[in-house]
Amino acid sequence: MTTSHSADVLQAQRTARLTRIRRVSRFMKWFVTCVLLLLVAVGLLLSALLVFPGPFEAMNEMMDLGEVERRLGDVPLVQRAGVSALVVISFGILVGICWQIRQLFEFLRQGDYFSPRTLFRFVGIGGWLIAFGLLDVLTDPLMTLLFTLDLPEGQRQLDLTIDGGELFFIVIGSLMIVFGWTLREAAEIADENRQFI
Amino acid sequence: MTTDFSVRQNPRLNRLCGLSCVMKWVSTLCAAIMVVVALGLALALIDPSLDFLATETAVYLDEQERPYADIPFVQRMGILCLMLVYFGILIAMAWNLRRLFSQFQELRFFELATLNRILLAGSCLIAFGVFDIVEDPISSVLATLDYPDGQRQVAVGLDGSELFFLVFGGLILVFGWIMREAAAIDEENRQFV
Repeated sequence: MTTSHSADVLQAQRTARLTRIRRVSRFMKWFVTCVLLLLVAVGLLLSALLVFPGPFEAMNEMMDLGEVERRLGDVPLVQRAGVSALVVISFGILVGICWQIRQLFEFLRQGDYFSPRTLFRFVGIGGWLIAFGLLDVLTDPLMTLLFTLDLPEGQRQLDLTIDGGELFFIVIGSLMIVFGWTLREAAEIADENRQFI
Repeated sequence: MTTDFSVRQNPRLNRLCGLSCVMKWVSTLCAAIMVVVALGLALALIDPSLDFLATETAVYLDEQERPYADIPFVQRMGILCLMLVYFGILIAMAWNLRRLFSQFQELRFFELATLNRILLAGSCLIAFGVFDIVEDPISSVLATLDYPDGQRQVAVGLDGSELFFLVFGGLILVFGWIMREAAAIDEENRQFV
């Protein structure tokens, strides 16, 4: 009698736990999806604004480029399109990170806690983070160069700076890759062992 | 989830062990470097004539910087406390990573102790993000407290990396929590069987 009672209690605890996990994972999945959609919208808007500033009434927006400022409307279309492409790539990488995180929580919601495909998401997240860190280093100099390309020689600018934030992306990205790879290997070996038994 | 990882001859397991060992020592090295940097800064704050030991020798304010030597002793001690908390969090994070990888090295991947480390890592990231946000205004106030009224400064700022720490810390925290719950369920099942 007591055994079956305690079994019931255990079963109830287990169900409560699983429900809680599923609820949190679902919330996180949709939260990340919203962030993803927001990023897509902002990215598209920003790149459209750079290529066609007219309709957005942004012709007179001043671009701050280190030491000089320039009216957006004065920059030729081709160069604006180049900057716009850079913006699209940056936002694309952020969307990639969000997608990986979304998949991670989707797999967790499905109850795939210790499976290789769930844990491999961390390798994906790490890879995208490193890409973002590297691009972040290149974005500033490339943008100033693109914005000043048509100016006479001597006024063109190229400045390269690395700050802590970019390094942190790369360090945390590498950590994620090692972490994800280790756990995935562990999960795969555990799977194989189980099949063997 | 405890799994039988006793087949040590498995080359994949050996590779995991090796990698975890390397990562463990890299984290240890990072922690050690941070201890050294923190000590140098602390000495420079206590006695500004030792500022050759420190990586920074001034507090950066809005448009100017104020060298440690110009700041009165009591205010410097306040900045020292702030700095100790800052490095304390960083060192805790590195040490936590060290412990995590040392668990991996012992092939204890999905145990409660390991997953608790992940939760702790997330908490450290959040703590660091929050502290990074409040540190700037507090240190600017501390550095200019002896100025006459009107010249004191409060620098408030929020940049992308601080947000990144908060968001990423939150994600890791939730992930760690989910994995820990899952491991707890697993453990209960096994005890029951």
